[in-house]
Amino acid sequence: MSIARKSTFDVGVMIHGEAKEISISRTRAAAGGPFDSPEWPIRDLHTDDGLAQASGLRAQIGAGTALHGYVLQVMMELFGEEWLLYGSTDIRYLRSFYVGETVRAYARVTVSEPGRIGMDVWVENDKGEKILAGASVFDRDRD
Amino acid sequence: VRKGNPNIGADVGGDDAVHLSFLPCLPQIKIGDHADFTTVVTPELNEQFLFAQHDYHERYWLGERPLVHPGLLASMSSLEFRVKPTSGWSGLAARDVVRFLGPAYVGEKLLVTWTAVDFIEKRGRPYFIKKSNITSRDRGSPVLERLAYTTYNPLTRR
Repeated sequence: MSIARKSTFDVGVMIHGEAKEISISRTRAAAGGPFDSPEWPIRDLHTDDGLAQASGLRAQIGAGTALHGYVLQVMMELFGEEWLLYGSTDIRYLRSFYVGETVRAYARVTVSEPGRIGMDVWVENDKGEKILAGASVFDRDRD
Repeated sequence: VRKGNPNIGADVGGDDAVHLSFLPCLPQIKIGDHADFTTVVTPELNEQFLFAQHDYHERYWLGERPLVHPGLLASMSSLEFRVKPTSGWSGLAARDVVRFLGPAYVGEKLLVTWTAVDFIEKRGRPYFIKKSNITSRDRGSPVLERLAYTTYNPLTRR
């Protein structure tokens, strides 16, 4: 993870995670169900080229929830296990992405108050296109 | 699937959403229906997700109480609420609103509940809005709340 410092949580500071290459095996691990399931991999847009093409896609696509996981990885590195008590995200999956692409999660601080950090979060592909975007909040005082 | 209250969450879709009485891809599901299951995240399943995420932090696999990866918690789905390829439709994740409430540990029993909140149409696309809660059965502690939006494409062939 890389942080363009002043202080980690000053408004405007940008953080990014490691680059992640989308592969068939990692996509099936994320979306295919447990390896020990008799149905593995579950047949869907992430595991079956034919089904994806019948849906109008070029080929099987990466799992959106894995992109969310890349954002959560950045949050866990920033806030540690407290994220699991006080963290929240609101994200939208903007476009499909494919095996062979490399993606990276980003966060930019938008709110920096004692006990409360707000961030814009997004994931870009290697063309610089946003494929996920939203916001995260870490708030020790939330209800 | 348990049948439930049809009036939950009628405003979730926003001003430009048209509310639908059912989804053609999941006609058996009604607003308010529940689907619950208990699951245990084994060390192997957690490691499978660590591989999927390229995230091998030791908090997820070392020590007496490794944590379940938050991305795995935020992607637990209900088979009852998923479309099958034989339905003639495929599902795509559109939006996730997730609030973490507490840690979950590898090996503990987790109660996962899903509720059908709304069916809407926006810009000609159908969306299924469903709410999930995950609770540690062993500790009685809440773990996560999630509102998941899924959209659907008709298959041109099966």
